[in-house]
Amino acid sequence: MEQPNPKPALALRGIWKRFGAVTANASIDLEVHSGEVHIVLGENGAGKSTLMNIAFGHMQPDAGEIEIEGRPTRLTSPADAIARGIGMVHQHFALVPAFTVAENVLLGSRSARAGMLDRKGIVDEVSEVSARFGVPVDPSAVVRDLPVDERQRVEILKALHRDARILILDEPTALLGVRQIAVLLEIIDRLRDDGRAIVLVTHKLGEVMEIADRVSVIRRGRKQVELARGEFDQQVLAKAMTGQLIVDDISRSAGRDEPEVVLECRDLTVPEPSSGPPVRGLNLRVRAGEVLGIAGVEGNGQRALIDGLTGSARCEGAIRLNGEDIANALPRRLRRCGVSIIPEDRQGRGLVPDMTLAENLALVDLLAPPDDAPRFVSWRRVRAEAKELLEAFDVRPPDPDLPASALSGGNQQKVVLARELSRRPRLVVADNPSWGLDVGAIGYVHRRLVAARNDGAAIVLVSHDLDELMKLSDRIIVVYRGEISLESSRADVSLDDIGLAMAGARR
Amino acid sequence: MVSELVLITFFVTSLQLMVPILFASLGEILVERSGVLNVGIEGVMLIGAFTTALVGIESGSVGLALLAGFGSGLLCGVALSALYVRIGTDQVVTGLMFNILAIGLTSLLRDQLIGGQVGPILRGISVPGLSRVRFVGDVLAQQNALLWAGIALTPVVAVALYRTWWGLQVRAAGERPGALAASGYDVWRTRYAAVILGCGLSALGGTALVLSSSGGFVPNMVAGRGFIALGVVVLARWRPGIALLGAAVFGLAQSLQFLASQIDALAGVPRELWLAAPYVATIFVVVFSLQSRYPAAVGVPYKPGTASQH
Repeated sequence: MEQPNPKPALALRGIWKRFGAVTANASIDLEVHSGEVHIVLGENGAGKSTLMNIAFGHMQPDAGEIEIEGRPTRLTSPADAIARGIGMVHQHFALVPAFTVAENVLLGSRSARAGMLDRKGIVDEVSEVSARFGVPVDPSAVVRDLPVDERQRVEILKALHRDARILILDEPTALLGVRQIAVLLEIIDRLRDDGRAIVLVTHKLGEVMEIADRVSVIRRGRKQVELARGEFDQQVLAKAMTGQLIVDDISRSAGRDEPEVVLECRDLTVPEPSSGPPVRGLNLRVRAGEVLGIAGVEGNGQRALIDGLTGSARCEGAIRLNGEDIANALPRRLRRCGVSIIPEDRQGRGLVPDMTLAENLALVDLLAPPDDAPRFVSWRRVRAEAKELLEAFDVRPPDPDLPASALSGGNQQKVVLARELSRRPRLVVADNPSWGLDVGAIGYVHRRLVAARNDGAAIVLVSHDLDELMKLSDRIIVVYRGEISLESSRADVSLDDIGLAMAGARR
Repeated sequence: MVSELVLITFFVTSLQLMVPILFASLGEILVERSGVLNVGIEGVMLIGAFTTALVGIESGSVGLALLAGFGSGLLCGVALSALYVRIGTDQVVTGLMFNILAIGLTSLLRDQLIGGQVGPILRGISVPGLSRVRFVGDVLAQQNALLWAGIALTPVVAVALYRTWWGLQVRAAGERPGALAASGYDVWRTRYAAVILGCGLSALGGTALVLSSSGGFVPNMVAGRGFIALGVVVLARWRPGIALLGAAVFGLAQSLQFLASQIDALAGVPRELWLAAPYVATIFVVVFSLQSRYPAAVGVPYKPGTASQH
């Protein structure tokens, strides 16, 4: 790599930002040079996104300075940041879903006075830019119809088209699968070689190891440490990020010899899942005390399988729970049969964000009350029970009267776990249960799931994270285009086998 | 069974009734495309109608009356966009309150200033070529310049929204304002422009009511046409061309009462039923256009500073 320019492309100095009583950024310094990837690492809620929003002019700092190429600058809006050569790839993409790729890329590049919009002309223009930067997109596709990785490339291209010399990527890998991450990192690598300054925000250690030239770790709004390549390893980073050493202390008890089959699907077909393609003629079995991991590239039928198992979509074929047919059962009946669901979208389906923790915990009981339940809700009892559960599941703070939206993502997920796992379920359907969580919370989720398994629950675990699947599963199946392309016990399968099966190769 | 004269009158009335709804719908399409729902459109039309009548009566000039109507709409747009966009009030409640205010204000000012006086009106203009055609010529001979202006304006609004960079920005403000801001634009300014211009156009609907009838103002003379326009916009899926058709359908529905009164077989049907026809039609239209997708951000005030809201 070339000697970095002595003046950083972007420098944030002594940035402070408070929201009410919360200090999101406390005197943070950050420099990034041209031709360098600077990773900002931290757990959720550490203040990384706030810092990036300040760097892009979405927010103004309470105190502190911003310098671009050595010149002090005030960024009062994204327009200022763009004018000074900063581009941002937002975590929740800032694209208009109803517009085409070309319209989105050029939305920022033309003023309203540019007059007529030449539909064919802009498609050609965006094709050319796409080819020039090696960032493949289909310019005439409508963004709404695109998978997340392509939407992300549209955002990257939008910044590049305006020749952003400084590129900020906010949690760019959070929504991507393994292969998609590899493609993204390749693009980032090329942009670095091209002499651009890149700031990448993440909470995943793997990416840091792979592409960081420099990493700053942020915890609770403060910068903990800044390290250059060669000075960091995963242990050091994890410790700086969480403030403690993470111990991988998952202990799985040995399975019983012939445990009973809890879940059996025969010839399961879900023709119209809520999203993605259908599954056809799936056969699977999960025994008590077993974790069945389901791998697959996003959009190969995982959604359909989960919709079928949880009664969210109509299905054909048989689903038996301890011999009882529960295909197309209503959620109420599933709950009564001992099915627990940990949905991927914890703020949409897992919890009601505006309701209190006590109410959220009681929701399932209201839907499927035990037979001896009194006719009226005793909120005093509900709150007392909630308090106990919150403490047992280490939710912070364990206050049953707080709205769910007041908690961090990790603590929200603990509330979901508390509700779903405290009833000794027979079957747990977990859909990307650690999605978007930080290292500490992921460890907690894993321990709880394994504990449920050790207690004899059958667990169906869908995850994009292969490491997670390898760590937790007893058996793994891979779905490809709605069918099973690989089924194996975990001990007998390698990551390469899974990767091949995910790409459609059959053994 | 029905004489040609009756049919001619029926179509003449229909076209006349279509024009106010057309202008109102075109204006509302602009406003809604930018992410604002202007329930106050009824009040805007009423103020436009009153101002047109007032200036017409005072000046005696049709041109001034027309300009004044448009100008009053722009002013309504300034006031409403300050509430809808800048302050970020609840758009439905604000709009309804604005309508109530407009009814009271225009009725009061009418009594104080113009009473039952009438002003100048627009005369029918003959269209070369068409005026000789049997039936069609007779119908069109009665139509004034506002019909042709409205028809000409339809493709102009369509092109502005769908074929210009300005239109792309307006639609982005209505679909995902966060994306527009992240692209370096001022969402508020984009919405101000759309709301102000849209209210100007909608007010011309009120102007058309006045200049195509007596030139005077009757309290509450808009009589729900603003709400009908809100329905037409949904039916038209925010497309100006379809809105033109929709406005025509509602014009026909409103003049049904006249046609019905001329047909002996229908003499037993109460007149009120025909009067209700356009409103019933609105309800049906809205019910059956459930699947039409509003611009995603309609009705949601935009607050800058939060990074990437939807």
